[in-house]
Amino acid sequence: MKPLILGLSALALLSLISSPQAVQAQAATADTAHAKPSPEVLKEITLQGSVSSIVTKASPGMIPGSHLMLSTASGSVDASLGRFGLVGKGALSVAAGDAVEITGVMRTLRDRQIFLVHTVKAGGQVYLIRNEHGVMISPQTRERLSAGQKPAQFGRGL
Amino acid sequence: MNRKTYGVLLALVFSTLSFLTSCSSSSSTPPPPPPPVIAISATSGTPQTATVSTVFAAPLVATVTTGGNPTQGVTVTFTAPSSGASGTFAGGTNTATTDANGVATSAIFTANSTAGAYTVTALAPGAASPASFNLTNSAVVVNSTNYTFYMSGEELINAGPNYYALAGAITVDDATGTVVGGEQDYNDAFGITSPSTGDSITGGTLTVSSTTGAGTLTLITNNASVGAAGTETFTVQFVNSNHALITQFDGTATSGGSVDVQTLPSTLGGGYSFVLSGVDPSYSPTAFGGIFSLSGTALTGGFFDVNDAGTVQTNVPFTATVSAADSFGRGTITNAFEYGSSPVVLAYYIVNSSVIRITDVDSTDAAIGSAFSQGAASFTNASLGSSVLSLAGNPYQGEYGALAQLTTSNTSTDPADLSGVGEDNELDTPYLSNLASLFLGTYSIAADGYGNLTITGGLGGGSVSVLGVYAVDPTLNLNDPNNTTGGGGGALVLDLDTNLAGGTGVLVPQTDTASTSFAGNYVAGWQDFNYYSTSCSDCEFDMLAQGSMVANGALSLTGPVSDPFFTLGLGGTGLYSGNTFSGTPLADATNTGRYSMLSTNTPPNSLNTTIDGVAGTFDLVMYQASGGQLFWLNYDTTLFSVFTGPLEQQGDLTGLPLAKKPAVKTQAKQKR
Repeated sequence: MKPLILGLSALALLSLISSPQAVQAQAATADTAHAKPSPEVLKEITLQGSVSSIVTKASPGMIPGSHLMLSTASGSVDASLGRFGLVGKGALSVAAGDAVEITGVMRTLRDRQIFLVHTVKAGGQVYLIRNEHGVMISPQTRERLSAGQKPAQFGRGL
Repeated sequence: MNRKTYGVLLALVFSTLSFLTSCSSSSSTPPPPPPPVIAISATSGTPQTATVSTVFAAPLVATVTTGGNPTQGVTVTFTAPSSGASGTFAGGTNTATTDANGVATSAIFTANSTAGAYTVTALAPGAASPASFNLTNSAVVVNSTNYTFYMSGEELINAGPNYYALAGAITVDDATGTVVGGEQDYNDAFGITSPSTGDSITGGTLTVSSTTGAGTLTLITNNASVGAAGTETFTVQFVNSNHALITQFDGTATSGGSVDVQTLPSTLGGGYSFVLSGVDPSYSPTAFGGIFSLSGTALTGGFFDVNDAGTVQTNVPFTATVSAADSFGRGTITNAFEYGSSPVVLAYYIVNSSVIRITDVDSTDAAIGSAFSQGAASFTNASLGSSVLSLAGNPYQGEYGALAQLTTSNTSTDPADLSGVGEDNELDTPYLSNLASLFLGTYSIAADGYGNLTITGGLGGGSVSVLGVYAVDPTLNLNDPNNTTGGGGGALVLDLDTNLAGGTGVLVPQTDTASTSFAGNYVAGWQDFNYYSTSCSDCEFDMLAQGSMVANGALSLTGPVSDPFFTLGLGGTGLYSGNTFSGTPLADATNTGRYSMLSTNTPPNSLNTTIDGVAGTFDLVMYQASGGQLFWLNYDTTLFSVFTGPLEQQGDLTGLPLAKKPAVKTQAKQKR
């Protein structure tokens, strides 16, 4: 799979994945007996920097999975790529020294700042690591996106 | 050049032009159309099983088309094997003529006296290949027991790890343990999906130790893609004569699930609650749950909630079309749900009139779960009392586990209040709560059992905060659906937190927290997901074990471990038997019903394990719903591992309707 295709697919996913919120709103009814609270929405930030190193096996103290260690204007950032970021077809392909732009959520875990990556922009391509809800993108998902599969949301079949 | 020469040349030119014109004219004429393709396909009657020397229930029906259109008046010839397992057509008539719809229906077909699986072909003149009917002659069984099984986990075959789900039903000869027939649906939504009629199970064996309840189930299927060339091997651990835990144990996949004695009702009816978890067409984690009413094959009044890769919808009404169950309790549910414009087809397997297992059988998406009867109950907030909450992510993505106990208050108000204590281990979010985190929340349950629950600020500050709750019959045991002696009631649970898509669980009434009740023989299992190995990060290994618990004393269990992804870094085949799990749970003096086995306790009391001869430890917490059922959760401060699973008190095994053979043990593996 070509990175460009993945990048475009990732953007398509990002644009499509936001639309079901409208569906969700429409699906809500006035049936108060079945009312459900709304889920929390995470806030996202964008960082730019260069790749200091690529970690495929987390060392003790780090959260598991693969990581990009980045140098940014505001200091070093530990960017978590999770289980699938560097695994399988269409995985992120970067090298030390590459300039990248990452989007995601900064969290504090065990007194340590960790950036949970949503997307990585590198070499003009956008790689989707997690969706906007923090769900990791698997190699199978990447394969289906690259094949033109759109993320069809679950709904009523009537 | 003279006139005669010109004449010859002109004649040559003319004849050449005539030839070329002729050729040109010939080549511009369209070729005659190819003859229409004649095709024959099996329409119904496959797969089927009949006892030797008895009539198959359905005739063999084939459809003949020409160029895609039904063809009338074609003589179809049905051919059965000339020796071995086979059968005969009534009156010796092995031909049938197609009707106006192109349909040819065979004469009544009777199995011969030889047991086994075979294929009957149907051939139409001019068809390139025959249609095939997969038939099985089952041996005469004096006494047999039907079992329904279901499980989900991670698949190694088919370039895994992939998600997979497997459900089915089998008939087992009580005297020999021979599997004499069955059906199953296997689905990884990534290339291996059983056909729409399911796989046919044509043989196999169930061997169980009458003393420990540990055993092995082997199923021979007609689907060469599953297991090892169509043969699947599972390890089973019976809790009582009606219920066992199960894990695939052949190196092709690993999973966790349940096996339960099947009792087919004449019809299904009443209100049901359900949850399913799996992967959507994007192979992202998804789970959905809700309620519906059944009256025979009419499904009405449904409401569902869904968390599809973090996109949440709630309170969506639905109805469905339900087919009648076949002789193995299998049917289909259609027109209920869809992904975009792609309808979701579900197969179901009946356990009994109150419980059915449900699995998504589409080739692009997969899921599995259960529906439990709501009984005659009309629910209120008072229907939920003190409970143990157990949650787990789906087996492929978004691994996490959460475990808690809670009490309810102000149940006459809506919403009602709850408070509790618990732990949350979110391996993939990632997040680990503090031990024994206190929490508050609210919940609401409507009269139809459809409800929701909110934990203020999340369980232990983590992501577990919004849950769908679907109440079940107060007499139904969610772990052991044939158990009518206790532990019944509670609710199925769906995680509606956007970053925990795929999570489902249970709320089980907490009726006995006395540590003295946590005693006797127990069966335990877990599905563990870990980052121990870089070769397969966040992959699964499973354990099943049986042993004893001394009240306020030691827990000692022994059983198999399935680790086809070698997450533990051990050698051999990844299939290890005779492993030990032991330690002394520490009862929580402050939170009665909670236990811990932790390296940070004084003295340290982690669960000590010896797997394939290699020693290790796991830190965990346990919550006791009653002496009959507890749950445990891996509490890993390194955030490299999470598991959840049940501990079920073992009942009397003397009623096991099985061959009383010792459990098969695998050969000891060489250490790395």
